[in-house]
Amino acid sequence: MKDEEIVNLYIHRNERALMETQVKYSKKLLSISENILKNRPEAEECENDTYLCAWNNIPPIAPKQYFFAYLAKIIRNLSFNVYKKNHRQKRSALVIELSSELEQCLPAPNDLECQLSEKEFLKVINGFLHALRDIDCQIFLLRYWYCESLAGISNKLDMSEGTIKSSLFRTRNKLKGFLEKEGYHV
Amino acid sequence: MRGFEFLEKLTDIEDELVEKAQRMPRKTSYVKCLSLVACVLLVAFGTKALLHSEEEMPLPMLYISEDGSGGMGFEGYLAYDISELTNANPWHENLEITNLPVFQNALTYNDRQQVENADLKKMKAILVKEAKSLGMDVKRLPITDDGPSEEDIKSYAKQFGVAVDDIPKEFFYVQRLFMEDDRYRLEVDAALTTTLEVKQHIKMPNDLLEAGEILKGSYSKYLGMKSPQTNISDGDYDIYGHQNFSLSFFEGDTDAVQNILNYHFTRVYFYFNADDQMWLSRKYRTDLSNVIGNYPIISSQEALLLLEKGYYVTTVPEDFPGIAFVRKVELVYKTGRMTEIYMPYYKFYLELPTLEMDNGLKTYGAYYVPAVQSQYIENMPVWEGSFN
Repeated sequence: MKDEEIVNLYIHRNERALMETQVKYSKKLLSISENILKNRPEAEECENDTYLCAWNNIPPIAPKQYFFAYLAKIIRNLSFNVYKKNHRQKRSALVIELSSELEQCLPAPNDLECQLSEKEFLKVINGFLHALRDIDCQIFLLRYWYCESLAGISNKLDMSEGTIKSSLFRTRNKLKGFLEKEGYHV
Repeated sequence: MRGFEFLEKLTDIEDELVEKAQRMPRKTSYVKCLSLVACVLLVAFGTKALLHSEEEMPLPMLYISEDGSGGMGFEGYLAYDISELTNANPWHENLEITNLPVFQNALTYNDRQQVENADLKKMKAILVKEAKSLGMDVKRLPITDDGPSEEDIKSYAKQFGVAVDDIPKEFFYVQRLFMEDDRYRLEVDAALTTTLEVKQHIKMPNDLLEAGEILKGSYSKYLGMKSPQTNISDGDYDIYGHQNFSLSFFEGDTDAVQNILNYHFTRVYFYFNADDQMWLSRKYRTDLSNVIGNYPIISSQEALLLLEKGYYVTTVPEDFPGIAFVRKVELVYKTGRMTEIYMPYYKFYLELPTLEMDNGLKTYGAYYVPAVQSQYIENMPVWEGSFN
């Protein structure tokens, strides 16, 4: 079923919307949450909460054009909330690895937030991502947005892990240079 | 802002970017206006027959799309010298090959990246055959799959208050079959790729040639080849300076064309962990039953002239350094699982002087020139960042 049709089911309060959403996007949504939490039951809980959140918010929201992105953002947020709640007991090695990789992009160990409001930060990052070649942008986002392992990206894109690492390395350096050039460092 | 906050705040980037990132690359060189009749007749001839017969039927025009250039990202290899980039490609300059077959990918994918025309009977037959070759007790061990169980279906229907018949059909698609005992976990997917997980990892010599000889002996039934050829490939370095090699096998054949096809389409890989233990194997078998035609090809020298004129496709983001920087050429088929047409290319490795690193590591970029004569290519690619 097309996204627009599914969103229409939500708008008309038809519970079939939930099933169609689950059939179409369950695997992708679960994988985002599992990548972050490394815990299947918690990921499943986040998935169910995502459907509930969509049910409660559509309407008035009607994300017909980017329905998957809408759901994916919900589950990513929910998963990071659970992660933060839990992470004192059990840290996900992957999230630590990703955080440390991204830290390398920051021009200085200072608080970039002091320089950029959240809105500005997003504007800068969106601009940077649009300027990248499609494939480099895809690799960067699969790694840092979808929190995928190198092996997972390699499998998905039919590329060697070496190529993925090189692309990420270059993109992180570009991002650091981009932020510095734009004057975002203390 | 720390790394974790950065990671978290990325959530709210533009929706378009989020969706674009999770789409699989479509590698679509395809045949334009391919007559259905011609296709059916060609398929009826079969691969072997076509390779050795004089083709009289007019060959369909081939169309190369931009995505056909790779979808592989920046295809560059790090090495101190080109001789380090190695493989057992049976093609060489002196082979007198005038024609090569072009195939259409037999699998079709839906927007969930599921194979729509999965052949469960074939998958099962392969699973059982592979399991037998490994000495698994196929009569006793159950075959499981990744489709929903009866219980899943009932609970699903109950959860959403619908009849089973109303559940979308994609929910039922089976894409993988499994068999497992205490030594192995065997899987066959809808692309007919076998994945063998070895539960008790096997310590192997560090030398891949030596390891290859051992595996050839101990896994001869699983390999299922009369004349397995060892392929130690890659040899490029990662950004941390580690050199990486892969070990695979393909069936040797006295026929040069068949040898090239075996090398590209039916390889068996073995994978090792950091302790030199073999823990995984993958057997690729591409369905080559959809033959489009047996196309006349150009020589590598002719391809070099085309390269010089800019008739190539590449993912290298640097300026073309000139043919003086060509360091190696080989004939290859592009074989990604989403590639729609499998056709031969000359792959040129060019040294990229602008990317040489301080430690002497050079980057060799890949540039592809179609090996099929250009009269059969509707849109011969001219690299200017776009296509004809």
